Amino acid sequence: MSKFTVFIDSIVDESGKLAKDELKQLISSAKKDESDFVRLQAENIERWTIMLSEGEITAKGYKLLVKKMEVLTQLEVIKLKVKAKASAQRLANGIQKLIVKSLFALI
Amino acid sequence: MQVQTTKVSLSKVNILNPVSVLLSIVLLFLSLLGCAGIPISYYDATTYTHLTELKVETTFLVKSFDTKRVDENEQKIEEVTISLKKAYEYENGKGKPNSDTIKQFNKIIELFNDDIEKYRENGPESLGNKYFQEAAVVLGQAFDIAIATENEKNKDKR
Repeated sequence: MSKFTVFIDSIVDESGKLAKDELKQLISSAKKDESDFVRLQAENIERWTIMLSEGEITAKGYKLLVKKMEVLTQLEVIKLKVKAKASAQRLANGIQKLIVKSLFALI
Repeated sequence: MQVQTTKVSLSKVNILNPVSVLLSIVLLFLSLLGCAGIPISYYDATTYTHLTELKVETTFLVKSFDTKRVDENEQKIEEVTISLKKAYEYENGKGKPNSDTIKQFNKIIELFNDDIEKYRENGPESLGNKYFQEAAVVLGQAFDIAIATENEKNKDKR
């Protein structure tokens, strides 16, 4: 069992608010995700959880770090948007150059 | 209420002529691109250099927050903040087509300012002795995404 799993299992949660198995499954599957970004975030969460369990960061520090992931996600969304726009721009430029300027002159 | 329908023979208007079809597709596509707010800014080597240099400067500084006192770092904080502002103004000057990169710069500055604020307010005692090491990792990842975004842009061949 990984340190992450051991720590999650060791948390006392009498109210049953924490879905431990679901959380472990979420991180485990995210670490195998196709997206580099998703894998990296799963690794962040796992590392910070272990650091929390070993006292290298406090609960307050842990919460602040996890909150920063939201900003990383917003940055990634912008990246994906730019990728799609750049692809459309290549197509538009290609149409302009090869069809509008060249082909249209011949037909 | 009467509804009048009109039958139009496709062969008469000849809309299936390949040239007409091609022309229609091209015009439709170009008008759609216009509506979507494209073009976007092209790849810029200066932006790439700013991002890679700022990544090193900011992460190195934030990592030092775990061990250095605030007064020891104040001058460096000011220097790096000015470098970030200069790079932001460069991006802002490119205008609307560069809005995505401007947004990314804003978010990176937000992360950096948050690290400085927490450093001044709390220090490593309340956040953990390796908190800023990890905050620097997050900041580095934010720069990596912005660098990858710049690399996604097309090279201007005009």
